[in-house]
Amino acid sequence: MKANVLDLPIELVDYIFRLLDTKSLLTLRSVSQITKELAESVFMNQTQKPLIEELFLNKKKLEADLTPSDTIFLFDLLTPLMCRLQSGSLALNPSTDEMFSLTSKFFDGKTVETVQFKLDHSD
Amino acid sequence: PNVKLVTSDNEEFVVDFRIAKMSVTVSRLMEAMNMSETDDASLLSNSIPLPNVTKAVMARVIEWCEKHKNDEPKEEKENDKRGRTTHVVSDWDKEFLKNDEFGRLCQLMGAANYLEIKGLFNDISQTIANMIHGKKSDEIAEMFNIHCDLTEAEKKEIRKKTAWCED
Repeated sequence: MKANVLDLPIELVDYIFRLLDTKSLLTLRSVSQITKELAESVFMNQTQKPLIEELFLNKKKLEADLTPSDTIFLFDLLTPLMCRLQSGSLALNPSTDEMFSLTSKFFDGKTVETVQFKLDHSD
Repeated sequence: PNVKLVTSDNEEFVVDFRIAKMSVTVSRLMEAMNMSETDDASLLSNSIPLPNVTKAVMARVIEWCEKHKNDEPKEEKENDKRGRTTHVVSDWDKEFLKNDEFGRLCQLMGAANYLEIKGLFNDISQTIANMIHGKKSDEIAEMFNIHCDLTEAEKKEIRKKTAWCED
């Protein structure tokens, strides 16, 4: 019989989930009830912030803690959803050409009180 | 000096004292049984029962311990804002674990947890986490044999909120 990850003691599954990045935790929300609850609980325990609400609801500050390529990927795909976002400030890191290009799409027609650019002097 | 370990299926493994000490559980049991490295008689007359580990899994654990017996203790560090710690799985360990099907990895992880061999436990956990990384939800469900018990309404709501991380 094929093994099921959920046959492992819950503390071991929890440990594995704690090694996952935010994107994988988001994906696990749509696998089953238990993976959804565990993924949300792991994120909440580590950040004291709800997983989805942190990204999508009305927060003073949106922090996307992702790698540059993930961030570009995220912004590109999030653009159609940005009409739902009301953010007090938005910090962009890294401030690459791609990032400027992508952010210009969702800034169009929206008001953001503060924008922070962290410049990378390595290039 | 050697230590005798007896598995749940009554197989006896004779291992080097240093290998036995890599397991916190075995270490504690040896201490409780007054077994010491300098007392050969205590090592010869006692064996350590390990009722939660089978012969097949024990053989794998010992193979891993043999390879890592001279390793320096690794320092744990948090490496992102979420406090998430990831472990670097060495090439040897990747090779060691790559042919274990998922059920076998779970058994090995259970044994590493019971025996308290942190390095092996971290290697297996990270290997499973790496298997999840970049997969879609249906691929994860298939790989880990998870039955989806979400209602259509719940799936729809989740899809709406996380459409950006699916292709």
